[in-house]
Amino acid sequence: MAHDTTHDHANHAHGDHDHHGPAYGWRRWVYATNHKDIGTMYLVFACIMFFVGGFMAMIIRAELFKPGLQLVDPMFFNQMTTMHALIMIFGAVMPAWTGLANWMIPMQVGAPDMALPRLNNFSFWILPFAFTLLLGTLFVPGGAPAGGWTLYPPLSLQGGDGFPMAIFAIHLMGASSILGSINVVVTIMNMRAPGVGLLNMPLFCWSWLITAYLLIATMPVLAGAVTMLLTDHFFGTSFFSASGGGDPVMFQHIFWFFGHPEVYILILPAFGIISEIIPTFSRKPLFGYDAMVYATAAIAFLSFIVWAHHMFTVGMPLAGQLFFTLSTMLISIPTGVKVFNWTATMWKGSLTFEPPMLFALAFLFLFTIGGFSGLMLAVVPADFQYHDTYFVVAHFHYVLVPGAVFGIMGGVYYWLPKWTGKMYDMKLGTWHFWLSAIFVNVLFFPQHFLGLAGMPRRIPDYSTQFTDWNMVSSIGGFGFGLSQLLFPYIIWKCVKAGQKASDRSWEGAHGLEWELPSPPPYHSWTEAPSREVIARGVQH
Amino acid sequence: MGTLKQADDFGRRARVRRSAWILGLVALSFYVAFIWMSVARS
Repeated sequence: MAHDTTHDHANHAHGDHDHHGPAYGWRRWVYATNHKDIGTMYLVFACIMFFVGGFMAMIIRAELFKPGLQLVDPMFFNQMTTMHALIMIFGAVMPAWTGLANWMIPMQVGAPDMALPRLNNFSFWILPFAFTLLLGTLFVPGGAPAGGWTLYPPLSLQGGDGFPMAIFAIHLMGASSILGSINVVVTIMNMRAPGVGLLNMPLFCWSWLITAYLLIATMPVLAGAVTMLLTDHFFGTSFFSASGGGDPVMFQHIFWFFGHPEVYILILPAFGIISEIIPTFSRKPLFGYDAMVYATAAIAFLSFIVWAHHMFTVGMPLAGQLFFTLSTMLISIPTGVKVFNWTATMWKGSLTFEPPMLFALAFLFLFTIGGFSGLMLAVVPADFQYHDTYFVVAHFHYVLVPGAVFGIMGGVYYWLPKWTGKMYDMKLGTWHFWLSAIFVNVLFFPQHFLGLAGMPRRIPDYSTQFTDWNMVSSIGGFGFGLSQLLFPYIIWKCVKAGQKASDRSWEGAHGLEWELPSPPPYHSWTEAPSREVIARGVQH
Repeated sequence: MGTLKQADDFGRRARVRRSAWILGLVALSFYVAFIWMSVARS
């Protein structure tokens, strides 16, 4: 290595904290200010929430296995759909991205840690309280929120004691995301080592920088919306109550002004990871780096002007319908640039198919399916037919599961040897991939047919003509759920008994993180990387 | 921590704090603006 990363306490005067190692026991985690420790906590938390939310999905699919009411009563079913969404979005995917950001951004920009380590600790430790509160709603009179994750009034205002708990939990999650995002922006804008320019830093950093701006702009909007729900419910205001002169549709506008950028918050970091993985396993530089950056920024900008495509059936003027249809379709242009650039990166490359690359390729195919069904939903007359059917459920699950979740899994399989210094069981990883990729399609593809045939979403019972595809979908769901148990097992086995990984764990890997030892030192770059290291590490 | 030491090396400690505060205030202003807009409309 081109730099000395040893930790020698004896060489430092008392009070010099620059090179100290981890604290012992619980203090290491509760008082954590180290980006790797906090990143690990985020990832473990996300994994736990992934299985909690996944368990709820299993309940949903078990109930829908055949028509009629079998396992749960309709109210509890609605609580499960609402909680599944809130937990997967705010508890699993977003914390997983923040965990990956914490681990990778300082290493990739040549910084020793995140710019604001104590704020980082605070951002993480808000989350267990938020989700204890949210899950606690299952045990209070009236149960958990059951009006859907969109919390539309007046339905959401009819909740029981769980309503204010859920609102407070959402406020806490929002605060955590905003603080985490501030940390990411400040780190990337101020802590890049000399020589790491904005237009030669890894695309994962770029995609996270743009995501962080989206979060800072939109999470306060959600917070404002749910604050107004709270005052409508408890303090006699009428923001969204027609009887008091308010407008329930205004909530939908405000919610989706947050909600659509939120979709990109969930997917943009995956774009960054795929842009890291595909060049590595194609053994070629990324095709069109600058175009990828501009495409990401264009997608982020467009995400702010498309929100009402979620509301076509609510009713709006023709000009509004045309505007939101066309602006939505525009998003396919920068997204297409990305898909073609990833494909061009692989063109004539020396491809190998290790687990990260397999997840990246599945992302490329299956996310594109989700993108295409999104285009179908952007067409107003078609949306009148598809709205609130299983077609919409199929669409956003294609974007979020083989999109965001496969992106996270690909990222973990890509960087796990760097984090642990050990190589995981590639055969098991490949098994995990194929089981996931097959079952995710068995799970979600039939839902397109169900939706086109008219099956509504958010119902515990359905007409008998929908039985066959629901059975297929549920079998896919159980298979997908079970195959995910491999994921923590593979990580546990890697940590316990993995073979030693080299510093550059993948021969085609470029980037400053691969210039550090595996596992990397407690503080990544205590001295800024030299020009030679940067020249070797960056691709552009 | 090594972080602020390196920020010092780059002459960026003040910039780190200033940009964090600015972003926090931007977030807060979005929160206030959307509630204020809703008050004005309802």
